[in-house]
Amino acid sequence: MKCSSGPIRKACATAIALMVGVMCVASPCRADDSATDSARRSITHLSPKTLALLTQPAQPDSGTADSAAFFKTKKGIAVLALLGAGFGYTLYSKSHDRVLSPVR
Amino acid sequence: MRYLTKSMIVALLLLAPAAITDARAQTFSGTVTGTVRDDQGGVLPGVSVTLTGRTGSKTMTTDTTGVYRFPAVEPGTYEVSADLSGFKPSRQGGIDVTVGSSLNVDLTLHVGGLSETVSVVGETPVVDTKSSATQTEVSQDLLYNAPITRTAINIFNVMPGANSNSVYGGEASSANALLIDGVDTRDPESGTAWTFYNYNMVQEVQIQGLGAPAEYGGFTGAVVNTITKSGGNRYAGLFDFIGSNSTLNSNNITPEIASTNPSLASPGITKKYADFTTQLGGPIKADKLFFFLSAQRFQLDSDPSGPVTNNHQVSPRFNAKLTWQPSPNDNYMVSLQYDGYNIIGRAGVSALLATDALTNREDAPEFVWLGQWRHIFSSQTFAEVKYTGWLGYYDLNPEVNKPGHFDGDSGLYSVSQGWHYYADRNRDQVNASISHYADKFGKHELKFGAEYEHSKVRNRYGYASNANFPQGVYYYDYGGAPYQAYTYGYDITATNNRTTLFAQDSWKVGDRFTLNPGFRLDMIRGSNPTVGTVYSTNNPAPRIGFAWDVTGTYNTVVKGAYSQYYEGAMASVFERAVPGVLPKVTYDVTGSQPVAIDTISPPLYKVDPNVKHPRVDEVYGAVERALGGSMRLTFTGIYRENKNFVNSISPNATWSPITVTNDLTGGPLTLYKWANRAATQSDYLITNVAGYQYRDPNGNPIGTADPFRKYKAFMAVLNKRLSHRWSGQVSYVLSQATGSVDNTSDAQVSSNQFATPVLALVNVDGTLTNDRTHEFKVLGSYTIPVIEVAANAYWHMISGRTFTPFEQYSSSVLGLSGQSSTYRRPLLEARGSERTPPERILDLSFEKIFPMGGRNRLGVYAQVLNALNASTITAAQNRVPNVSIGGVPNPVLYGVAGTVFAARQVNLGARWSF
Repeated sequence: MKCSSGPIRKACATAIALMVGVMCVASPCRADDSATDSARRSITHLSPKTLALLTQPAQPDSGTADSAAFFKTKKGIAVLALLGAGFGYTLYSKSHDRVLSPVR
Repeated sequence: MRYLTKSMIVALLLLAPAAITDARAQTFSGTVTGTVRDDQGGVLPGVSVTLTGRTGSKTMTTDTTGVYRFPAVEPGTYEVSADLSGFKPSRQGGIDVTVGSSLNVDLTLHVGGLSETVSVVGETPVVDTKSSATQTEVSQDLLYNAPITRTAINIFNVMPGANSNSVYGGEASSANALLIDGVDTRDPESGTAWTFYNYNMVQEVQIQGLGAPAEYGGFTGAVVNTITKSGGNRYAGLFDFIGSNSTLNSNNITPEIASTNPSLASPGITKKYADFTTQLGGPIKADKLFFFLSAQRFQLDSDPSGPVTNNHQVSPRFNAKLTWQPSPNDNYMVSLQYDGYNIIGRAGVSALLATDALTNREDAPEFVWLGQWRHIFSSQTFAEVKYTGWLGYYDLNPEVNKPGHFDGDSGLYSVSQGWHYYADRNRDQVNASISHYADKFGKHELKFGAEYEHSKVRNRYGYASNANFPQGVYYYDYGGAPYQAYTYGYDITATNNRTTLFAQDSWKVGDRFTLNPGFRLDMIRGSNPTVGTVYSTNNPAPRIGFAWDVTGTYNTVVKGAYSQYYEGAMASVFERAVPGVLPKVTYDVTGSQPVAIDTISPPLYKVDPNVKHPRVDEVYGAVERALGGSMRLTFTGIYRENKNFVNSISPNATWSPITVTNDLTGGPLTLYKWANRAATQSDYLITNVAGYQYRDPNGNPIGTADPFRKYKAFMAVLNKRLSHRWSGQVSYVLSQATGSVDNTSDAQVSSNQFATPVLALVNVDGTLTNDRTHEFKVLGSYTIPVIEVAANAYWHMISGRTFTPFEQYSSSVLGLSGQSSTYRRPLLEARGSERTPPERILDLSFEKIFPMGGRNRLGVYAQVLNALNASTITAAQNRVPNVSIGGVPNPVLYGVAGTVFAARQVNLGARWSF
């Protein structure tokens, strides 16, 4: 059962070549090449539509929901019901499924 | 290492003259900093900069150099905005803060009115130009979609350089520091994983270990940081169910495998898998007080491969977390987890030999807790105090509460596993640290910290009793009738006390170069109430590293480090030196009454007062390059060497060379018989065994202990974080792990390998079990537009593990009567002479998403694990000439399949998240 990793070697060599190729083809890095520098990219005016589109995956994880109001919505009620069912069954399982050691 | 030439290694090492990293990581937060300029490039002091995220907003003002800094930022996605009278406000979103990250987000303000905001859709910089550590992380996006088995403890095995729990060549079971929100959840006895937790609780997983800063210690493999979810201003929840049954399993046992090892003929079958999670986080009071609650019930019923027909596992888990921010500068967090793991049908002897009667029941509840306070004194200084710990036990009681039997003629066990084992564990830990940013002689990010750990271990073991042996007994049969009986047991207690001090700087010498010096001192004491402190080491661990921003544009960095990492405090290093083990008494039971014929009193080991704690030394270098705004390509070279192996020897033992037959080759094999056992069997010393000379009865040296382990690797990783609907990671690792001490378990400290030259000298040098020469992994996720189906794949091709043939010789030949059979199992070829076939495994998952607005979505999904139904052999039967298996008429020969990768399994699930 000696190692027969020839195919692995070939696949890995291909992968390495691809990765190196990507690196070489990618934008050259020059000190003044700000176009590739996300942290220092120049400020751009964007249309609201474009802005909304582009910022969709990048929204900060903030929120303004109100506690009481949320739990009075249909969604909030559904959440409470599911949460109650889940916690209830897990609590039931905690005692019902226990394999209690005789020395405890 | 054939494919990694010396010149390549030298070149890589030249890139790494020194070691260490940024000074934030173990606070489990990140930093967002940057400079605000006008459109002419001039710095702008007095700009109001606001950071908005999950738990509200914070505002800072830029200093005289236009620099702002938000320290101690919780992981999450943020937006930074800048306002100054006379300029148009500017904002940048999509800033993903991860643990330990130091993100540079520069902003430019244009002259204009307040009515027009300039927004930049920026990506978080993908390259950290100040840290000399290379860390890899599994993001929440990837975790949510990845088609990987949902046992959270194994998530890190998808990362480059991690396989079968062995990371960067380290020991698989004990070398990794497993931290959950900063709580060290390892077993304080052996360093193995202990606590379980909910996969759906995980927000992010990181692996640190290459150039890790001084605040990280207690590992010789890697630090696995798991950060769990918290509540925020927005209600966020997840209701998830995933399950499977036997109709969704496949059979991957080939006729060849079934014929050579009949015990594998019926593959392991998942009879029922049902795992649900219900969780909700949100505000109790906006911007101030947040909660997170989670409940999970996990059930897995299976018919394992082998004679056991039923294995039943259930684990109910609860998590609660409360976060309080009374002011923007104070953050308090408390969390508690309960997990009650229960197993019926756990094999009590080798899985190949166990039947349903030879199983046990496991009762293993545990509590894990965390309380922390973080205070920001200013944008320059913050401090954190944390109290963490866990408490649990792990009891194994035999399914049949009767004495067990082993038949020396057939090699089979019967009646019962015959023993019980009770393990109690507890760890309390206090961490305190202060971080300070200074501008003297360059820019410094200083961090000083102290930790105190107190952990306890209690192990109890004994046999089931009967009328003749109320203290418990185990029978040795021959030809079906009891022949001898043994009484034995132990109740031992051991305590670890560890005090740690560390200091770390991230010193930005110029605009592009950062030097990261650090120092860590672990003072470890091991004790027992009866004998006091028996193990005492002080372990200074220097770290020095650098990071060079090659272009000054934050997109290419060369980094490297030299580091020393000491193993954590673990009682297995010294627990043979604490009392509590009963004598092993052998009885003749062939007559009407048992007659004691031999008593072996357990030796109480001594500990070398000058013993040094095990560690690994590391030199590494890396080049990281940002590709566009969301991809990062990293090339890394790693060299690691373990030092200070601790093991036990009998200092005055002498050994007579004997010649036996190597039944693999038919040739002679030189072994060693203990010549003066009666005089020296109570005289053991726990020490650093390197250089110890084994001698024959005439005092002549017969060999020298030479424990070593080396790991060399070249690693290429391409990361793509989620954008434009896809994310992924492609990696290749070429590595070599060699040595005389294997990397499968805690062999570095707790084995008795060096107690006998049979295991210390014979064929011990070679390739380690977890030596994966080639490792190629692809992890990707893409959401197909229009139909809204997320397609995810994890494909890995990895060289197989090595194995070595061994043979068990009789105790009389080696003078080891009454001792564990492991002492009589020398290797017949050089370590790692054989290798299992490569693993080529493809896992898939698909999810149909029903968007319901914003983050609100419903999904139904399917996981297809081992989609190609590969029947890869993961371990071979390596005993020569064969091994007997219960219920199998013919012995299973050396070299055939011992275990096989799990067959294709489909899991179906549905989830609602918002």
